[in-house]
Amino acid sequence: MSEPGLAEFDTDVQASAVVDADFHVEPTAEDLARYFEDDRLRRRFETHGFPEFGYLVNRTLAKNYDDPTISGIRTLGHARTGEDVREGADAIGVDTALVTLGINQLGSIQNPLVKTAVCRAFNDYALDRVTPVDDDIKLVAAIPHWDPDAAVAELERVGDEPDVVGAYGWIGPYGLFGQEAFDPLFELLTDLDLPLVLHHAADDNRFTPNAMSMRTFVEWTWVNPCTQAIQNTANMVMTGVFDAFPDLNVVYQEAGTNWLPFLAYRLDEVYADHTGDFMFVERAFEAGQEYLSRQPSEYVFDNVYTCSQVFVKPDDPKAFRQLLELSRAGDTLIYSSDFPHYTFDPPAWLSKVLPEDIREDVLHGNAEDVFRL
Amino acid sequence: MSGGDPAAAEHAYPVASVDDVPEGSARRVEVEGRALALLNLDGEFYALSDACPHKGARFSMVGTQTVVGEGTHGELDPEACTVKCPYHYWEFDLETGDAVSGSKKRVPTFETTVADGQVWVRLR
Repeated sequence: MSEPGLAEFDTDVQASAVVDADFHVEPTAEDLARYFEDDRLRRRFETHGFPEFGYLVNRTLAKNYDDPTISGIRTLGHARTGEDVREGADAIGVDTALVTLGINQLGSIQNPLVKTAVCRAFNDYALDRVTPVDDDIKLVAAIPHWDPDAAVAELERVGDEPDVVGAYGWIGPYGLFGQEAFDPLFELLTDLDLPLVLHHAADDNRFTPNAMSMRTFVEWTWVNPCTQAIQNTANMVMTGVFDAFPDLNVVYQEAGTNWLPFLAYRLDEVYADHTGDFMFVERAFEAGQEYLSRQPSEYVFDNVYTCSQVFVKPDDPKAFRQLLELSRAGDTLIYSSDFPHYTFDPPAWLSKVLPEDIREDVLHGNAEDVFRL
Repeated sequence: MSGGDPAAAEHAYPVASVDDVPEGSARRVEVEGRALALLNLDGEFYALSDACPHKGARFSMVGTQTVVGEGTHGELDPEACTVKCPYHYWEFDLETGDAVSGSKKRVPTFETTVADGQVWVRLR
């Protein structure tokens, strides 16, 4: 029997190891302020701190997420330090935690200089206070990609740190990644053999006409990021990013998983009828390239990965199996917990519902490959 | 919760002393190979399968401290006689096991009896 007062998770994971690709660390504003280099920006940040999570959300939409009595954004706790990460990871059955900045409403800070300084401070904080605690804690470094030059500068600064295993950004509020301005970033990522990891951007998509038309949390928080990931992937494929950078890997977090086959086959079908646009894409035009080098679906399945949380499992076992097969989950799906949010999917649960032939790949193998662990 | 001599009831098992499960708390117990959550709501004991039909969270975690930080897992509601799952807050009626909203899934519940300071659970 468990002792009163102690949480007991099911950690009976049916796999030899678990890598969690999205374990959020949430330093306080005070924690990060110490790592600001510029005094003016530090004072500015100390005055205003982080935007409150959910402050842009119509709270009637988000019953479980921002209700202060439930605290859905910290259902499993609040990991500030490496010790917290190790304790939390052990409790839920995770061996290796890839930590990410848990302040996903960062974009709600209007000033780009402050946001950029937060990314830099977070990376220094994590490499100082989080990853040194344990060899099995690694950092997906935050990159300020609202300013592509600053993103490159930050990745040049920390990208070759041994504990950095990826570059972390956000889909939604900052434009699509097919833009040529990101080419230096992609070049550096491939040189460093690091994936581009894109998380949904919390509150930051609120003030768009489409978002303002949404009436439910389901639409806004759980479908909107999927459509953004589809749009971003289509943009990267059709602007020739993966022709220019064939080794670039993109990992989506909290953006759904089962859209991969839809997008792959949709692109193949329509591209076959409409190849004429591609040569006028900036990247192709400058290179004199007439067509994509491969079928669009090949880039989707070879260069794109999705993380499991929130993982959809139809009750019909046949439908579930078909979804996994069509998504090529054994090659494209990576486990993530989303610690500490209420949408957490336990590794023990996922390991038990996945077919045996892909279980090890999803729980740790794909992450080990993509994040070069 | 029912009365009578629990020892005389078929498939009834003593699972904990009353003092083991203070009011507003929960405890995981194992009976005949089954893991159950035993809950105490204002002195009334309820037993249900200790695995949420959604993603397997243990109801016995309800009210426990979060791994790090100072929050608690899930929620017990004595007025509504419900438990909210520690992972995703699916809410279940402790009498019937039915999901209160949103889902048609159901969690198995079991009859409990208190006798001589001991909580008994009947598995059928």
